[in-house]
Amino acid sequence: MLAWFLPALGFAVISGGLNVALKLAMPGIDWRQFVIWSGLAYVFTALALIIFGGWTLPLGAGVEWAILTGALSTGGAYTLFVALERGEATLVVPITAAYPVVSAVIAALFLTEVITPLRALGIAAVVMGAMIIGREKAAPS
Amino acid sequence: MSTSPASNPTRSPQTAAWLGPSLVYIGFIGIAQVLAKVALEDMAWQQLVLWLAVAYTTFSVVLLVGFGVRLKAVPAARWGALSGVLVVAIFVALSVALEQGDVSEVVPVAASYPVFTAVLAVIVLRERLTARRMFGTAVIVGGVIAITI
Repeated sequence: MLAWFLPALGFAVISGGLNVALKLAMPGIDWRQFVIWSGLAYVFTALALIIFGGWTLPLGAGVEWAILTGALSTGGAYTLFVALERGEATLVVPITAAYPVVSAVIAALFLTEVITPLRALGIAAVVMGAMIIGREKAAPS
Repeated sequence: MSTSPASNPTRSPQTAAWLGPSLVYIGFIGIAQVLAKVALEDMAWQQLVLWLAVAYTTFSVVLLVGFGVRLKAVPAARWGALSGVLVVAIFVALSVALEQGDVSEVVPVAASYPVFTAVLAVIVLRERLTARRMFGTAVIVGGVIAITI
């Protein structure tokens, strides 16, 4: 169980840590510096994978999707930074956590995955939750 | 989303300021997750990390060379550096979890990250956690689990 549970829990905890670390970094740095810091972290990770793991950059099938994934991830880093810059983490993060809705719809349209009744219920719940939080008043400044 | 603050007294005038980029983020990452799934049919997650490094490096070089952006030696830079490391750690942690366990096992745990964010935000950032935010977060987390298992 620990083989998957610890990294899954690590994902949840680290994600929480990232959102708070970004708020602490503001307004000292802006989104451009955040993208560059992320780029540096990716470069060091890539070097470790190449040197210690023997991994190489694949150039065959799937490369176009990998590049698009990278471009969209960079765009995601930018928009997450801007959203957290403008709103409190407890408001912004639950909304940004709703991205599986888009994934489910896109996968249904282009990968012929099925939106089951349970998934449809989940999508409705996410939209409802987003509307509940979206109507929250901001903290008095 | 077009409801104006004047016609909706419960919504803050500042809501649209953070809601807009949040919704764009959902679009970017939602599509990226599908594309990553397609890419991972032909490569290992470690190789996808290499391509993500290429993408981030390209954007970084454009910012550094094209727009003259420089990393500032300010106290906040340590949080910026930590954030960069955590961005990569998130991807690696989720990839390892999905490699070792079933999606139906991993997702309910991973989807709980707004809860960890809320706890940390209250403790570290002194943000207030209202009943509305807690209820909305719980509904979203439950919905995400239902979508992804």
